Amino acid sequence: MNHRRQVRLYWILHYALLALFVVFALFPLYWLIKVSITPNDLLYSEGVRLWPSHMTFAHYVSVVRHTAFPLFFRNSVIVAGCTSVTSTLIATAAGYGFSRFSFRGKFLIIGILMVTQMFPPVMIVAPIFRLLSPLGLTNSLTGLVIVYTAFNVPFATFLMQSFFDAVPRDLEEAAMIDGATRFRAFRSIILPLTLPGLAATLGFVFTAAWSELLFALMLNSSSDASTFPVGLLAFVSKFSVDFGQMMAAGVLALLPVCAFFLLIQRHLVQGLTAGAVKG
Amino acid sequence: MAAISIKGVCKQYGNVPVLRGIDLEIRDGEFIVLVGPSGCGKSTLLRLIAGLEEITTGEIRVGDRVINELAPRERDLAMVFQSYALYPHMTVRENLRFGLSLRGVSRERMESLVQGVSEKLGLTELLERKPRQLSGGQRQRVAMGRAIVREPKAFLFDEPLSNLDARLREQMRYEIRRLYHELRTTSIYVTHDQVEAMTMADRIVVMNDGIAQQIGPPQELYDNPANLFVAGFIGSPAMNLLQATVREDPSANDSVTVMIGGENVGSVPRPAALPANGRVIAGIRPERVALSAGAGGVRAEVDLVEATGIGMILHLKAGGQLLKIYTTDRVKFTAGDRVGLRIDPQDLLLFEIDSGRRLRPT
Repeated sequence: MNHRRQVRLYWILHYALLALFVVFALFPLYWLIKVSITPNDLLYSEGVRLWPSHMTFAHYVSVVRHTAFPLFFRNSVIVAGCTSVTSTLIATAAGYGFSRFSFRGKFLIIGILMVTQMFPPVMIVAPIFRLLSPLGLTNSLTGLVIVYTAFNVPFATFLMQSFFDAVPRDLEEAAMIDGATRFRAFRSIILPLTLPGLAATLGFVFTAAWSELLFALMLNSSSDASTFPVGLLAFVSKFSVDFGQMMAAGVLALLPVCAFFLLIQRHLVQGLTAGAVKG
Repeated sequence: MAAISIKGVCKQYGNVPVLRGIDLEIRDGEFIVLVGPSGCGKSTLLRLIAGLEEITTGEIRVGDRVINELAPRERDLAMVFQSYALYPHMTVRENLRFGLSLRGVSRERMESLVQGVSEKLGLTELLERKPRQLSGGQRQRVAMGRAIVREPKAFLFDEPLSNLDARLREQMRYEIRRLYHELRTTSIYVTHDQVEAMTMADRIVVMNDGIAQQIGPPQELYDNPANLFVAGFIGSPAMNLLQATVREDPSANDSVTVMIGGENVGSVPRPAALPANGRVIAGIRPERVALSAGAGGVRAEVDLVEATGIGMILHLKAGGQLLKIYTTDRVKFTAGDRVGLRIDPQDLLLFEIDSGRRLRPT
């Protein structure tokens, strides 16, 4: 086999494997959409088909009009939005501190932050409930925002620190010699260069808060303060599961995450720092 | 412009001393080069002056103002970094403007300053480009422009040419020096390249191990090094430092005879202090060793010949010691050839073995 054929075969295999992965990753999403538009009477009668013989948007209409889904949806937007903004703000400040300053107890704090990531959340649901209950923070969106923020800040901090580490110190030192305060150097030079990191952190925290079920279920029993993952469970009754509505609700719940990522994807592009220093 | 005075400056990181008491008076408008090997403390000293590190003890003045406690932005100095440190998300014009806008310079004045500097440095065509669209030399020019445009009291250069190739480095060396002659702003330039130091400095500070080993004009350092470190560091190819013995010269009271590899090289004026065993290090510049036509002088064997184009460096073995000679003659030697060397005793510099101190005549 000559070299050219070998190279061609390599690329064919390369793309075949990538395609296999994409199919594997996207198939559940496809199935979600497929089931959401399949009429109830065809769900079990048509067998396994890749596309139903006819489509309906009745499940969507029903979800929006006859369930509490719009409320759950609103709650989720508030909780995920507030959590991602608060966590990213705290993580940005902490990540910058860890990246740029040496101070007593720095490694101890980093160690403690790491330790918090080692416990499975289910272990501390009960103590957190006991803590939040007397403060009136159960059955409240604020309680969820606080808990989610606390859980997301450590990882988000490490994420932001790694982005700050990638920005050469020379840049802010040059700015400070040019006449900027440290904060001004941070705002005018470092922050614009870490926008991809900021966007990634926002996206990560938003998605985590958006799809969280355990705390949302355990801390909030009232349906007024339920988020959409809890709401999805309402489609499961004792004797049946309303797959059509559940999938339609799932598709609707995907929309804000997609919109959010579309909004930030411009900043996720790497390589903004190219040309900053030697090269 | 301003004079800079550095008095007893020490810097420690934890228990590790990096600078051990630097005293240096830089005159207004002087071009000073700090040179030394990696880790000698030269960049740390520059960062202390810039305000990027805190001084452990000592005092730095710019003009008549002590700046120890001032933030970098309050010192009115400009720095050119080794990495250029251009703001990558800003155009060249915005890079040049940044420092001016922070100082509240009016828009019209800002534009005229940016225009002036970009004309001076040939940046006019590049003003709307981002740093990533520039070559290494162009980025270096922008970094220089950013420093110049603010008209600071002094320029600090932290190895600004070390990322450039040899040709560009030579060109930029010339341009920096030309700019300095035009502006006459006090400049402190850090480099590990002694050729850069020799060609650019009004005075050189040779540093090693956190200490200023010698401060003086380039030629003074080359001709009269204060110790073994300076003798070995300044000059390329480096000075030959040979094991030697000095003996009383029976023919003259104020002279001693220098023996290298058992050969009598000649008499030199008696140093003020001599070690009891008479053992010293004798230093001689490679270009001051001549090949002797006759059978006399120190005998040596050619080990390696390096042609530099403009001349040749011969690596020789003489009495178990290695030495180099530099000649612009087109000699034809190969490894293994035997040659005779002629050393003028006047060119010999003697150093104490233990302390490395220069043994100067009384």
